[in-house]
Formats: sequence, C-alpha cells, structure tokens
Amino acid sequence: MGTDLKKLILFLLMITLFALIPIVIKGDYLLNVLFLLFLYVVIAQSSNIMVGYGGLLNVGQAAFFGTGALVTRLTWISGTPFYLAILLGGFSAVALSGFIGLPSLRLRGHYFAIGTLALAIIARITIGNLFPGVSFIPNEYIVGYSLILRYYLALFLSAAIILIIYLVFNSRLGLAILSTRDDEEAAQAIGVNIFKYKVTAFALSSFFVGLAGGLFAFFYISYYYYVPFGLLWSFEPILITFVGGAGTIAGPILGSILFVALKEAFAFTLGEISILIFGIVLILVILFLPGGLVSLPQKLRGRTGKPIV
Amino acid sequence: MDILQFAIYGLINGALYGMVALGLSLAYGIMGYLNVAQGHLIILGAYGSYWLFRIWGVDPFLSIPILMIILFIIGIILYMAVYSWLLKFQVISRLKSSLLISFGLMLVFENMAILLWTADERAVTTFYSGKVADIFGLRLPYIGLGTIGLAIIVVVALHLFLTKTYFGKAIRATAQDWEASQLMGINVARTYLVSFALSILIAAPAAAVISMRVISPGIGVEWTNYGLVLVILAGVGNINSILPAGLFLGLIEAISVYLVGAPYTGMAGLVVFVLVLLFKPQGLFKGRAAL
Repeated sequence: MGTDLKKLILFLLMITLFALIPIVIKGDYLLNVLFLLFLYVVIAQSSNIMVGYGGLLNVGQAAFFGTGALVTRLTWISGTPFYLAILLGGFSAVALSGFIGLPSLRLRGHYFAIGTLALAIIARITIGNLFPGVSFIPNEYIVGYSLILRYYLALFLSAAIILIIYLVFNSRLGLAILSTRDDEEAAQAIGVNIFKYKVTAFALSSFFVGLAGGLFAFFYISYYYYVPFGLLWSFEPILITFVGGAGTIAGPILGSILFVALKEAFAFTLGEISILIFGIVLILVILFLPGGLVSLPQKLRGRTGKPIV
Repeated sequence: MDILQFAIYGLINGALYGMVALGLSLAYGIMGYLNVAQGHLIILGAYGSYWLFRIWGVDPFLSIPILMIILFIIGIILYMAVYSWLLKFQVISRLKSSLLISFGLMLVFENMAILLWTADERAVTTFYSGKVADIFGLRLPYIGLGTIGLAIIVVVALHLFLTKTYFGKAIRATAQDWEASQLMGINVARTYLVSFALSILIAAPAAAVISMRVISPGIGVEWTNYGLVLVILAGVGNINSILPAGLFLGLIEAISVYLVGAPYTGMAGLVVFVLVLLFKPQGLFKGRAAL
C-alpha cells in the first residue's frame, strides 16, 4: 500500500500544480499548450483502455471523437447548457460504440483493427458530405469565451480518466478485462463472460473519447465539421500509447507529453517535422523497447520487466 | 448503355485496386506483416514516376522498370533496417508490431514527402491523357486500357514467379511452414528479404498509373485502405483472388456512383467490406489460398 499512497500523493500534487498555473502565470500560450496536452492525455488513455488493457486495437477512435464533437457542438450552439451538451456527446459516443461494438467485437485481432478503421473512414466520408461547411460559434458565445474555464475542464477530464482507470483496473471488473486480453480462451474456460467485458471496455473508452470530442468542440471557435473525424484522431492516440507504454497509467501521459512537446518545439519551423520524429521514435520503441518509454528505467537497470501486451 | 460506361470505369479502377493490394497481401501471407505504409510507398513510387516524366520526359508506363528497381532497393533497406527485427517476435505480436511500425513509417514518409515536395497535388499529363477509344459508343480511356493490361501482366507474372521459379517455390514453402523449409535447406532469412522486397516492388505499376491520376503526400492512406479492403475481401493471403476482388470492388463502386452519386464513391465499397467482415470473414472468394 505504501507505493499506492505515494502514487496518490504524486497525483494530487500534480493536479494542484496544474490547477495553480492559470493563477500564477499570465499569458494564453502555456494554457493552450497544456489544454492540448490534457486533451491528448484523455484520448490516449481511452485508447489505452482499449488496446493496453483490453487488447483491442481500435483504429476507429476518430469516429467516436468526431461523434462526441458533433453532438456537443450542435446541441451547445442550439442553446443547450454546455455541461449537458458534452454529456450528450459522451453518451452518443457510447451509443455508437454499442451500435458498432456489438457486431465488431465478434471480430478478432487484425480483423477488428481493419474493421474499425473502415468504420472511421465511413464516418469521415459521411460527415464530410452531410456537413461540408465550417462550424462557427455564435458571437455572443465568443464574447464570453474563457480559456481558463476550458483549461480547468480539460484538467478535470484528464484527472478523471486517470483516476477511473486506476480504480477500474484495481477491481474485479478490471481484472476480468485484463484476463480477456491475456488469454481469451483461458478466461472463457474459467467462466469469464468475454463479450460482456469487451463491451464494457469499449463503452468506457468511447465515453471518454466522446467527452474529449466535446472538449474539442468547446475549445475551437471554428473548424470544418469533418476535422474531428480525421483519421489522425485514431492513429495518434494509439501511437502515443505505445510510445509511452501500453497497459500502464504513466505510459500514455508520458507519450502525450513527448508528442505535444515535439509538436510545439517545431510548431514555428515546419509543423511536420515533429510528426516525422515521432514516427521514428515509435519505430525504435516498438523494436527495442516493447514496454514503451515507461519501461526504460527498468531496462537501463538491466532488469527484465513484466511483459506488457 | 450509361451503366455499362460506369461499369467500364469501375473495372479500370478495380484493376488498379488489385495492383495496389497485391503487395499487402504478399507481405501478409508470407510473413504475417501488415504493412499499412504500402500506400505511402506507392505514392513515393508515383513521385518517382512524376519526376522521371518532368525531368527526362520518361513516359509513366515506360518508367515502371526503373520504379521497380527503386522500390526494390527501398524494400531491401526497409527490411534490413526495420522489418527484419520483427522476426524475433512471436507470430501473433509480429502482426501488431508490424502494424504499429508501419504506422510510424506512414508518418515518416508522409511528412518527408511534404518537406521535399510540398503538399500540392500533382499529376503527370501525357499526350494520351484524357484520350479515349470509342467502341460502339462506349468510351475506353487509353490509360484505363493500359491499367487493365498491366494488372493482367502483373498477376500472371507473379503467378509464374511463385509457381515456376526456385525463389517463388521457396517463398511458398516458407509461407506454409518456415521451420520445415529451413530443414529442407531453404535460406529462410534470404527468402523473407526477397519476399518483402517483392511485396514493395510489385507496387511499381500501380505507382505509375497513380502518377497519371493525382498524387499528394496525404493520399497514401487512401490507397492502403483500398488494399486492406481487398486483402479481406479476397481472403487473407489468397493472392490469386486479389484481382477478381479488386474488379468486384470497382464494379460495386461504379454502381453506387450510378445510383447514389459521386460524393459517396468510397463508401459503398467500405459498407460491402464491413458486411463481408462481419458475415464472411474468410473472404468472398473461396478456393485454395495461393500461399
């Protein structure tokens, strides 16, 4: 329990630190960057729930992110209070995951990955055709626009998903999800209802992705409706998760920090170099550090870590 | 008559889809690698074709042998630098790792192409671009006829290579059981190297054809997507069915364009694909797998 207490203290310390930043530091730049970081932490952790803990490579995240963004944006702009709108966004992503998840979870391994990728592309094309234009928020909303509110919301969401992952995967439910990842047949043989737990993992992950989409819709003043449906919203969280370390809480956080830092470091030169570097880091990590960056200290000390995924 | 015209365009597209998918299917069937960077490699090849045309005026169809050499070398380098490391992984994690690594390669290639050549759309315009042969009122584009011809040549050549040559037989044996092949004296490491390079160079004709349509750094993933769809439609590892599956997909798309309209071109194929994935995951085309 000693390490658990330490983790909790570290967690609370970080939250307090980040919560103090808007009070101590003036200027929008840092808040914008940190907002982005929190957003990536949320979507990377959601993909971590799927692939890291559930062993399901869901390449269709973009569809859920986009759905959350679309529903939140439309309901919010038409006058619904934002907190209700973002919850609607989250739940519509869950509904979509139920609609898509129930059939697609019958697929195993690469079939699931390719199937979810196809669904993401279908969603992207459909939305691009149905909503070809740009979404603006009304003027009276712009007047009341508060970056600090968005910052705290993102911080809250990323803290919430971390806490929930911690609680879930230290419980019976989490162990059942892990067992479906590690050995599906064995889990089934001892009576674990695999399908039920996969659906649960899918729904949990989609809920947070949907909320993150809602945050996206809340943050940006104008964007093309199809942007949150872009395939990068599927790829990036997976890459971040694996670079950091799939199946760990710290991994996706570390990966997001590296990703956003690279993005910002090269933002004023050529925006694309950062992604190129991230691609190379990913390849090196997959080949030589299958446990992700979080396993680096262990590896350096020469201990053989617990195999992950 | 109109629908016939649509069908012809569909078949032309389908032949191209088939050529795009061959490499993916090969790498998957032989080594269990899912190389989703294939589309980006094809786009690299298409850029090669574009520059050969722009600088030396080499016709895209004639540039294919040069592209094959370039892609072969790229394939060898990629295999030695990246993919050969995956052999130490278990078969099951090989697939996931190759998928992730090729994600990484996608990012690298795409952004390299943007840095080198900007994100602009380009295309090769030859003197016969847009020209059509008129047969009984049907318009047959010359490039389209060339595409179908190429697809047939590629498929037949690949089939002959795999069934008649020593290397081809070694590849098939290794795909079936690499341990037994090793015991029979086949150099498995070299066979993997050759088959990976083959899976890349076989994209050269597709690259040449695509250079005459439109190329930009970002469209690689669309071609990969067509490739993946075909790999599943044909049945995993079933190389002989790739071209029929491609023609089938092209026809489905053409019919959907005829009925619903062009904006949803990509969708009909994907919907069919998802249905196949759900209800007939072993693929539409029965018969013995080639590998």
